[in-house]
Amino acid sequence: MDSIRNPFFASAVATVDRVLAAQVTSIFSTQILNNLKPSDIGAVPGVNPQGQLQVFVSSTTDLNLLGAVGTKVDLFTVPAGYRFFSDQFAITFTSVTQSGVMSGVTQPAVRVIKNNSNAAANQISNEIDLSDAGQVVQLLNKYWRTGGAVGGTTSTTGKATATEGEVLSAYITTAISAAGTNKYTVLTAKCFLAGWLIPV
Amino acid sequence: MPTFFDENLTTSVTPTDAGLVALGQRGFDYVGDTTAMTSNYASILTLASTQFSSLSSLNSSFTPNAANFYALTIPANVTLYGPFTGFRLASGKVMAYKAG
Repeated sequence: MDSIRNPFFASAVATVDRVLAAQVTSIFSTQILNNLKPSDIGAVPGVNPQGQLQVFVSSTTDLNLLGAVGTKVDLFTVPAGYRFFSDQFAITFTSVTQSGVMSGVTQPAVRVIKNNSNAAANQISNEIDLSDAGQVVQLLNKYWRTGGAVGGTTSTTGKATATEGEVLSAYITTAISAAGTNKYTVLTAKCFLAGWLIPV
Repeated sequence: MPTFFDENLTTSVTPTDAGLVALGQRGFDYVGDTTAMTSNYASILTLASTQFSSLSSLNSSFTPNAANFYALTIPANVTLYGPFTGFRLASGKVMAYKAG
């Protein structure tokens, strides 16, 4: 028997193939996933025996961390036939320019939300507080002193699931302080979301 | 790169062992350079921002979506679930947990 017996798995893979091509990076080719055989289960990276597919999402545009509360970049629309469980959310600084050494300013906080709402029920990841323990301030000062090198990453864990059709976004929940804004000219970050698509 | 291996788990995996493999108790390879690695790995944990230049599985028909996956910078502390049979980094550091 060369076909997948689990109907959820077979139909879900076909759906994901269309979505992944545009929005999500899976570990392995989604076209090949359509040809999975039962004997392949357990031998295919990123797919578990329940047909759940590990996915990584990287924002196509960077988040402007100098934006006000509500500034966001969309990451991903949960495909039909799936719900999405968030594993991890991370941001990596892609561009940092300061006019002086940072100290005592309020840094932004970011989390993943769904459907453009930061209400508790719509929070998909925990919040990344960029003022946490002063580490990011130290990081930014280092970048400024070394000519604006970028690449520092900070991350948090997942928190909740989203259902099909819901739009997930990286969303600024705390804006940078005015004092901080005056010290930056550019502050952007790439947003990364890891998780699992779970057949429903 | 250092390799750590539990000598008590050198035989084929039994159902009893399966849980130990899932927990990484077959040992691991730490990789922080671009050396090509060949072994059976249950999962790969990124220890720093990492890019892969190759990644392979038990079934050679499954090849990564190169345009997307190899261009992706994966941040630290992300686990890639296998099984994998080999990989090479373009940059970064990983812990590759052995499956046997």
